[in-house]
Amino acid sequence: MSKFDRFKNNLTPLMLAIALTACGGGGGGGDDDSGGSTSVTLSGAASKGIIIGGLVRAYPVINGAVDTSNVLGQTTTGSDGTYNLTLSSGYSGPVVVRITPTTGTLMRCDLSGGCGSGVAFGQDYALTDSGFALNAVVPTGSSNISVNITVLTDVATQVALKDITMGGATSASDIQAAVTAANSKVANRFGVAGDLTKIAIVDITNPTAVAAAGQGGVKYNTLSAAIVQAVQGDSPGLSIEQAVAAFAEDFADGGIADKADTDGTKTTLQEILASTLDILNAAVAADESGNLDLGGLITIITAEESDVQNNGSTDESEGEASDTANATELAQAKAMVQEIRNLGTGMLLSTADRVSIEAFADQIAAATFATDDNLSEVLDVMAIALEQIAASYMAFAEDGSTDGSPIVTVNIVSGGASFTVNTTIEGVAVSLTATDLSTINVGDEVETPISGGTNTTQAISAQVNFSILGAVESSSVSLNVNSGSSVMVTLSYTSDEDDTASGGTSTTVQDEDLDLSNLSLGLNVTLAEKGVGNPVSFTGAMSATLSAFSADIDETDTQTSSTYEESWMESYTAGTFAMTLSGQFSNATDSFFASLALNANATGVTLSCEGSMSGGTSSETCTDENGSTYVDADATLIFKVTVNGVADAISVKLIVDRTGLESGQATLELKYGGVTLNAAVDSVAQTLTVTNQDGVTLSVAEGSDDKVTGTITNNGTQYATISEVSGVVLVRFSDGDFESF
Amino acid sequence: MSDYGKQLRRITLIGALGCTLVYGEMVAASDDDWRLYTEVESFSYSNAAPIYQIAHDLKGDPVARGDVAYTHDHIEIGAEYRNLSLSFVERYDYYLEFSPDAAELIYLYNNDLPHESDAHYDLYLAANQLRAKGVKLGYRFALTEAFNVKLALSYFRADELTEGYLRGYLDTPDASPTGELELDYAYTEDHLLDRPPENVSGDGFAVDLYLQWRPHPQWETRLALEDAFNRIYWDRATATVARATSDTIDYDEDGALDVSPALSGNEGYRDHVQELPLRGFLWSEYRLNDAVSLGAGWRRHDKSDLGLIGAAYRFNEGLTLGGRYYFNADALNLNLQVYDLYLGVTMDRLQWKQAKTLGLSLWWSYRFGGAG
Repeated sequence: MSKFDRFKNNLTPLMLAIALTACGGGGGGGDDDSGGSTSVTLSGAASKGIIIGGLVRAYPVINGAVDTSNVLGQTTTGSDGTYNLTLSSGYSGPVVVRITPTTGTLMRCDLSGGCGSGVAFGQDYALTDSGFALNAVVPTGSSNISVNITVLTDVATQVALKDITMGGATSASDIQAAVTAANSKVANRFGVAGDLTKIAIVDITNPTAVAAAGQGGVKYNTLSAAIVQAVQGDSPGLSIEQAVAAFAEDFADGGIADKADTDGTKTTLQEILASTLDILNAAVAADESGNLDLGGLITIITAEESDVQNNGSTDESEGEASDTANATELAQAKAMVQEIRNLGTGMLLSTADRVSIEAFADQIAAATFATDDNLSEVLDVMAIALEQIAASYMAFAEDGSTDGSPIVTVNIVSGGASFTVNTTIEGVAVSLTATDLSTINVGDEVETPISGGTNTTQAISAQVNFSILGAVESSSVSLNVNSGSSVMVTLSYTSDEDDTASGGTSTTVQDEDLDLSNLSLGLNVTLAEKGVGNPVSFTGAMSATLSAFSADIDETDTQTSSTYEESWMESYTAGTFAMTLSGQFSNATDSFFASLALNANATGVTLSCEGSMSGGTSSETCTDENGSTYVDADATLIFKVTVNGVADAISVKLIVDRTGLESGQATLELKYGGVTLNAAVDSVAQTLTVTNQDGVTLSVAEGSDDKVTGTITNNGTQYATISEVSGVVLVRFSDGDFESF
Repeated sequence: MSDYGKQLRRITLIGALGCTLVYGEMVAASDDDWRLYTEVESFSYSNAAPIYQIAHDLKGDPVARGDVAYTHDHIEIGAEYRNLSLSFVERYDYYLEFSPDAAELIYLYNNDLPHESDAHYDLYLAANQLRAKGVKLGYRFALTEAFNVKLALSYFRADELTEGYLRGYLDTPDASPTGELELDYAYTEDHLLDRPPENVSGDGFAVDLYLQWRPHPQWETRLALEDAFNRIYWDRATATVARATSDTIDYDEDGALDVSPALSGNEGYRDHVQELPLRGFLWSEYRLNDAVSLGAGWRRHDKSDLGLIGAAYRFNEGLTLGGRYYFNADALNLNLQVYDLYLGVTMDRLQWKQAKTLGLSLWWSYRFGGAG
């Protein structure tokens, strides 16, 4: 053997050893911090509509770009859209998890209008566009974590990659910080609390899954679908896959605006919220049992949409990242306590240039006066006036009669008639004119002889469409209905009357049924308090819809030469009533914009009255709501308030949900900058829970000894206990630090 | 090995040396040299409030402008053989120093009374408290016929600790009170912030010195210096450092509110070394005749001094009645010795719940093989 051969023979094992070291546990890729070859599991679900049999791959983020040449792990999603992926390389830097279609991949349609080619809401269809991809980015792949992939996480991924490149982030920590900040920013823009990649996936086409999910989870998943629907609404030629990519690219280029300006073409938050409402209604419609109740969430989204439409900005925004997005979980818990302390103190400071708690309470009171009894009184009188206008209209439509109502004056105008009420009802002055634009079919009265008398029937149907102008004014509230206001309703009326006479006694038995559907009231109003020291006024738009209303009135009158008796039975049912009020509230010193949405579902609730009158004496018994059958009502109020020293504009959202005949839940959400605080009070359990944008949850309750106790958790781990010591509420953190609130 | 381990090893070596001495003494044993004894001692004093009121959170009558309160209580059961003694001891001590304003404010707070308006309170409270049990080894050295010295070394395991301070101020203008308070203390049970107790114990030692000098057959002077040198080592004792302030509102460079908590701190652990204050008792007695003797003395507990004078009447060999007067505590001690039984009571008020000076001494011994 030559010297060269001996050298070669010795060198080969050495080179093999070096090669094995380089490719095995000591190398790794890029600027990572390899910690050995421990495997890590990423698990989650993918949804733009549940994606079944999709190919899930994990890639490292190197120098601001996704390194698709280096697959850290791959798997496929199951029949429920979930996946489990193992990374075996020990890579600990930022990871992009991407789902793409492969042979046999299906996607569930979650768009209210269907997904094209006859694919309906809830149906699966083949996902064949090879260009389709959804991404999620996480700051580190060094531990077992949950990573869900949705349209919103895809948006956050594009924002993160752009921020990394434009910000010149090169170190692992800077890149991880940019990833965390991007996820936080996008969550903030869409009003989502917590880590986007960890919010559970909910199949919104599955009523059972929706019913089991929390309101936040349903909202998040519906938003993801709504984005695609809204983009397709603006650009009908785009496929779902193209819409996803286009939106992510647009958002990364500066964000989205609340509402469109005059020449805007980009998808706005208002359009996305409108699509969210459509999809939620589709989810309710898909529930064959009829038990799925999304009324509360629909009310919230309705208020949000109304708020951005009337009070939103036309400037694009990506949202604001939480200042503590990159902090440790313990630091985030401490930051939440600090935030609550700053906010509470800011509200309580009583110097002249700060908002005092009394003023803040005034703002709350101002914003809720719209629902109090004084306004109800005015609205009731307006409803009576409209009812009289409707009766007068019916009479006019039947035979040109102008005396259908004693309080309505009929004027013939070009193309129809106008009906004016100008009187005082129950102390409330009303001056309203409704101009007719309706279509009405008045059936003829049909008289049929019956034993002892005559039976008369009549049927009337109408598509009522009126424009309204005028004012209603009580001693405490004035309501002006401005131009552009209208009311539309579909109604049908039937009457069946038997008139008989026998031996000096005449009897009339009448059965009237009134069915009203799709009532829609759109008013431009000015509301103002009267007779108080600092009156509040409101100028804006009010709309109300009523899905159905039925009245069944049976009456029997019996008359002789000397006596008159009457008995009646009335039954009223209604469907869902929804009202929104959005505009500007003002008092002598302050003004603010607010939006109110109210939803009341009276389905299944019957108000019935049975009465009689004889010899001048009458009696009546009525049934109303009870513990098991009551009107399910939700209300959401959104307005902005300034707390000097904290933020120039804090968006306040107050949500009240009736959960029983005499119980309810209230939630208050405060949002400013990168901070979102969501406080929920459970009146039955006597607990207060506050969650913030980082997913930190504070829960407190009052014990039987009237002392406050509670905990602060983050991502399921407890980081603090709360207790009351000598009247001081103390927060004790897991590192030994403690502080009072 | 930790510092505490080294200290314990040192103590163990001393103990072993003591056992050697014990064994040596036992070699030439006779029954006459053995004596069993028991001792119960309790002495409490405060110049601010009755002892009973101090033990009950100052609830009751207004307190005086005082600045100290202390107690030392112990039970000792032992055996003495010639010059050597070995006993079992259980003890309880507390020593409180405080500013008069602190005592007054605590009194007002615990009795739900309002503080003075437009006042300034200087607040200071230092506490040193211990409960322990252990063994005590003593040896008497007869240096001359007239002068002997007894040295005693105690080793004990302690299970109650409170040591630290609270200091600051409180101003009470017409509007809301303002002030600052600083707290730093180690403890086995947190009585201030209700921290859940943990299993904490300490090991320590104390050196006592007793001098007896009889320069003349009718004149004797005794000096006892107890806890002359002592240390108790607490490994990972629970401790709290805290700050309370009324000045919580500040603004950052952007003008945003930055509100500090009114109360904040840290509940942690520390390796704590506790040192008890020196206790001294000096008594000098002159026998006028076979029956009557007069004496004067001084009791010191850290920096607190009490002077006393007294007299005794010896009825016979087995019965002596004495009395002492603590002139700056205005307290009277009556004592009776019947053979080897001694009982003494010290009070400044007949109603014990009103007493600011309260003492009880009970000694008993039994000598084997001879008259007691």
